[in-house]
Amino acid sequence: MKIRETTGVLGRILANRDELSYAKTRNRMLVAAKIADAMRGCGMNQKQLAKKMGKTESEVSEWLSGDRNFTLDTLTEIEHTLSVSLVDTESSRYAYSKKVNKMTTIIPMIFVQTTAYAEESVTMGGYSKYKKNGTCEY
Amino acid sequence: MNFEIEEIKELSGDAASIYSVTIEGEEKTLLEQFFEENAEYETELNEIADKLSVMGQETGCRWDYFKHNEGSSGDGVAVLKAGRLRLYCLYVDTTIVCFGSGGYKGPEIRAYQEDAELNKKVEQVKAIAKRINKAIVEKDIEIKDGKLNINYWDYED
Repeated sequence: MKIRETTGVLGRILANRDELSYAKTRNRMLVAAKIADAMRGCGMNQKQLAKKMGKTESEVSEWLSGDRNFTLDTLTEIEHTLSVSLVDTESSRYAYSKKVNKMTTIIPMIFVQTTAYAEESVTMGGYSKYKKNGTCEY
Repeated sequence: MNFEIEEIKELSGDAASIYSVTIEGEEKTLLEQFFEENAEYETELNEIADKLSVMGQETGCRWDYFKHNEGSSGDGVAVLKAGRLRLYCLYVDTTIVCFGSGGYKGPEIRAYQEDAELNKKVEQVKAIAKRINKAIVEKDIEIKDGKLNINYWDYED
């Protein structure tokens, strides 16, 4: 099998990659992959997810294509539906609060994502329907 | 149509092997030609290059990233989109994709068949896919460890 080193326009684009643009495309594709994996984990197909979220099937298809520039609200809706974490905000909790002792309040993510913690947690208001243990309600 | 399959060094990685083909008598692969012919769509080309890199290095060529069934039934011809730019390929699996060519699909066009130039490119990819699929079935090409291994390649169809 011949191995080709690219030349011309393609070669120039790859050699002069814009790292910020690349990071944007990469993140869109990784988020799409995470949603697709979460769907499969829940045994859902595109049609079922669309129905559950009140979206069209073509919209869900676009989410999974890696082309979608999601709004935070849409990501949050998907997180709730599939019980998957797409936006990491845990490290920001209480980060600017003077009322809370950050050393004792900020909980490692691995601990937050257990049912046991969710049930006992005062700060989270007890066990929520948005399950943190990686299971789906579907 | 005679051609050779070539692996694209800068795009292939741990997650997927990215291939294209060079038509007999030509210097550049169809993928390189696609970038030359569509140089005016700089933003879209950058996005396609980024997508190919991410697939090769990290995510693999996940099914959902492509629009499938663009060719004849079951021939594996799929398309990768960036804006209105279309890049057609033979989708083998998540680790192997062989890219052909494509072009700009204008907003007035619903199906590629309505654009003579785009239709020509897709027909070319379909012919390449047919030849490669036949070689895979006849074990002239083997799929192993995320690579295409050529055991025997005859130029003649």
